[in-house]
Amino acid sequence: MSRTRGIPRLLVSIATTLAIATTTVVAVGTPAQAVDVPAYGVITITNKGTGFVPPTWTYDPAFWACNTTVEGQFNLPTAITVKCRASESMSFNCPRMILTVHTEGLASRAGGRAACTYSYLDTGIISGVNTAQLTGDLGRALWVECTAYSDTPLIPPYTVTCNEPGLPTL
Amino acid sequence: MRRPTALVVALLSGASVIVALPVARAAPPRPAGWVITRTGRGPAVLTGTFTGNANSSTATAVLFALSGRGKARKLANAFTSAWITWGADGSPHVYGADSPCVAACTNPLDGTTEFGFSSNGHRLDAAVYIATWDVKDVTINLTSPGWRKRPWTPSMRTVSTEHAGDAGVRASRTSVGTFTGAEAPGGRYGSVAWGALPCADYGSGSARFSGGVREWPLDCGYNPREWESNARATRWRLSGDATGVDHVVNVLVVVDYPAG
Repeated sequence: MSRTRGIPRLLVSIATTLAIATTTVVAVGTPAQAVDVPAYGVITITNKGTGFVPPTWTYDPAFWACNTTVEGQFNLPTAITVKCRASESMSFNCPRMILTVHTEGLASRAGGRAACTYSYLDTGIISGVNTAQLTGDLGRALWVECTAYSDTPLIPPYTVTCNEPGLPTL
Repeated sequence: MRRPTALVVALLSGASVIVALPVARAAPPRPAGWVITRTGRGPAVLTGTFTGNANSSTATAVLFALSGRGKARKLANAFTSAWITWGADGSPHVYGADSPCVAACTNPLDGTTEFGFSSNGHRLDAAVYIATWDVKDVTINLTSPGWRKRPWTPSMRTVSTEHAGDAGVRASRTSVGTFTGAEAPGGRYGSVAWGALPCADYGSGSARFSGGVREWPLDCGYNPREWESNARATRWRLSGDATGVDHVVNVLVVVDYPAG
């Protein structure tokens, strides 16, 4: 698929997912506590089809510990998860989490999920030249998790970002 | 998030008649490892790649960095810890039984495999440890200057679904069954462990992952994986009940800190 054909589809996808974003936050436990500090930071999981790129994160390692889990057949993983946990003495939340999944090729296939301990956003799996974006208040964050996944192996090129926007971090 | 295939549903139905083994036990040791250290003084950014292929369905690799000494040692958070797990092979197995291969018993996991590791742009003042279990053809390339690698034989343990007192089957890179808990000891100088409740693809249940500095609740749909460390001797436990489907076979991986 050419880039030109992909753009209208991309815009439709963005518009659609933004429209339903506020209804797709899934709460699974204790509701948010208002006293926490936003967990400003970005986790990026990307594969441009040129080899496995280490996922990146912008959280301050003084307060956060991050772990990457790669599952499935190694060169064709079915799930890549970056989980960053806050130190015990800190208390964060995710008031404006933005989850974006971008697939960039005809055969690309990936889904994205952003979670903050008690709630999550999930775009589902998209394919082709496509973008899906969700935004929501995910409440309290003892940890922040960003996952690229698929029901088949993840097919590059794709990028999944989980962004809690705000002040820059180290 | 992910749903089982028709084959997996069929396997799950069949799994209900399997009797659980009461005692968890670790698989025989097949470890290998490497230590990455600074060649000069002071911290430096680290980047590199790890390649390797699974020698069996229980193959796994973990990467972590340690700073400090003795009981003050702790995971260096500037380095992104990592756990790589290949999942079940294509041969059906029944937990607790030496079942003959129904499908081809050849290992379907061969292929070029690569993982990039890094200190995420941070200057790292720590030693990085790479421990593998039943992984072959390992190559480690350091792509940032000022670091060197040397072989290391890790002391590590893995507990897989079929050795964790579970009932069920695994096939086609998926395990299906009932999880009843797993445990393994940590080393005298400390250890780091990864726990996985084997129902991330589909299922229900919960567990607690203990033995580390902090204890973590796990559940099938939302938080099925955790990791933790402990600078002292401990016993790692994944205690709970869950029934479901997962593409992960190892439910507990423990790597001991080396002396120092």
